[in-house]
Amino acid sequence: MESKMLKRPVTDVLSSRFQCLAVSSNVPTRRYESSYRRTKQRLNIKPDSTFLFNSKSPQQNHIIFNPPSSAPNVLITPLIFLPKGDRRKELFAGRIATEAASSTRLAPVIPKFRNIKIKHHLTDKDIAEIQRLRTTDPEHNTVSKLAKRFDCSSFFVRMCCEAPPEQKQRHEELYAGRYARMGPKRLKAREERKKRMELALRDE
Amino acid sequence: MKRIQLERWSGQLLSPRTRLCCLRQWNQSTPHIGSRRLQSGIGAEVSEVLEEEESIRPIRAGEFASPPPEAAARSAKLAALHARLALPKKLPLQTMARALVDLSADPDPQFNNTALSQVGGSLISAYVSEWLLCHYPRLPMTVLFAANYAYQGPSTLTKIGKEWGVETAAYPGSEVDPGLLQFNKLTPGSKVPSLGVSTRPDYAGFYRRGISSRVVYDDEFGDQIKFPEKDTVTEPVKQPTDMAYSNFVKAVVGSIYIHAGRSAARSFVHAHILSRHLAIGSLFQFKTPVRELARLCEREEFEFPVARILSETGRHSRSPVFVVGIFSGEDKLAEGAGPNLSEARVRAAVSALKAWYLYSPGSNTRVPSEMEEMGAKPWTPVHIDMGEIIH
Repeated sequence: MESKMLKRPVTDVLSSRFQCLAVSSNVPTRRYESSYRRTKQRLNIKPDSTFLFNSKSPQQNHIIFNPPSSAPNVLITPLIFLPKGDRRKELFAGRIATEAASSTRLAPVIPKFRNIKIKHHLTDKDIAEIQRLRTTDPEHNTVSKLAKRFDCSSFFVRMCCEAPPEQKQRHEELYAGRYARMGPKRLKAREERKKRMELALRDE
Repeated sequence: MKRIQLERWSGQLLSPRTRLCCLRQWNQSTPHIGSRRLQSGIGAEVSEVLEEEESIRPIRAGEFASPPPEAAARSAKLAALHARLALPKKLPLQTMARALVDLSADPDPQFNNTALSQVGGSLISAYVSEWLLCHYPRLPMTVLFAANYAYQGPSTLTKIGKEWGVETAAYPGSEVDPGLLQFNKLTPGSKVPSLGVSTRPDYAGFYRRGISSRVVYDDEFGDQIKFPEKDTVTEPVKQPTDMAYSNFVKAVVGSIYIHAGRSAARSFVHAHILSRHLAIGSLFQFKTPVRELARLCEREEFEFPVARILSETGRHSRSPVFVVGIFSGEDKLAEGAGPNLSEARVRAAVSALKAWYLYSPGSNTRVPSEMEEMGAKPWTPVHIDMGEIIH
């Protein structure tokens, strides 16, 4: 048993090297008695490096703990959220220091969700100008265009002014028309997206 | 501090006829009206103390609304229930029998469980609330109400009562085995009777019933406390099954408190109610989690939460997966996965907020009621949070 366990991965590694590369070229879609051996060979891919034996791996029987990646548990409070008196802060301080030293750069920020810093730079004059532009030519001066021009958030533009009723009516008709032209696939996808968002708010 | 001698009080619960010390004869000449009980303790009807053997009188079927206290000693069901729950020996079977008689079965407050369930309900509510507040000090009020309901609401107490093996009597009466739960069953499909008018001073419909006012005026579940109207005719009340079971479970806790004391009642509540697992994390529902998290970081003076993309797969495919992490400065608050960036960000924000709200000082946190025990260690203050995020 022991020798088998030790031998198997080594042979697997040797045999699977080139098979891995061959998988993408032409895998038969159906299995027949004639193709069974070939299919089996091709599906025999190299195991993950953590499962392979090396000089450091234990020599006796042991348990392999390699859980699949999953979202962190909400019951484990992030250190920043712990209150001042909590002992966990000091207990984990050493681990945090080592992690911080070894950490690489942070993941990239998602551009569309970047923080728009509130600058409070717009005066009453600017706000009046936003309102004037939006009422005079709502077709051309859209909310996003105005936000870009005045260097503020679209939320702020919406706070300042409202589209004239004719514009709103036009928009409603436009969206209704688009909605009516949608096929069953697109409609289903929309509904599912809506349902998923509701589930996300309940963390399900 | 002077302690209350509960043993002296508990004697009142046993009706006079069941107590050997003061067996009294009731006036035989008084006509029996319906199911009304004639108490030996009521003024003019008290005649004299009799010997024990003289007081035993055969009881005719249908004479009383609920089984007589003597029947409790002969009931196998009741003795089995007492043994099964490992109740203290100080708690007599007669009180157990009384805990099983609902208000709708016997309107006489000396023979039904109304008083016992009132005491027990208050105790359960106190122990559950203090446990929740000490173990999850940051829970929002709505979640706290829901958690309270999940631990000690009528449906949970019904489950507990059924798990104890208590069954309902088809119809209450004096001939029924006292080991069965006795109440006047509400017929299926009929309307649940109104409990009366609200005790809130701002009862009128145009007032907003906000969460803060619920904390002040309403019960532990955030529901209105109803008080029966005075001028209504007392019809035979009918009770839904869950209310009858929940009154019974509360009455058991109340009777343990009266007969065996506070610590016995406390350990009973911890063993039967607080030992149940509740996934408090599943009680949350957010409306605008991203904004709420931003407000939280602002309030607590953390850096503004930024969504960063940790990994992604199949961006241009039919079913892509994005893993988005929410960071405050260099600290990762939470991460979430979704088929589009917005959903992944919402999921990440929701789990960050849940991580904030579900903070717990640990499973061995002390609760205030532990201080009531003799020789308790000096009290160390528990974490009291600032309150939920208002956005």
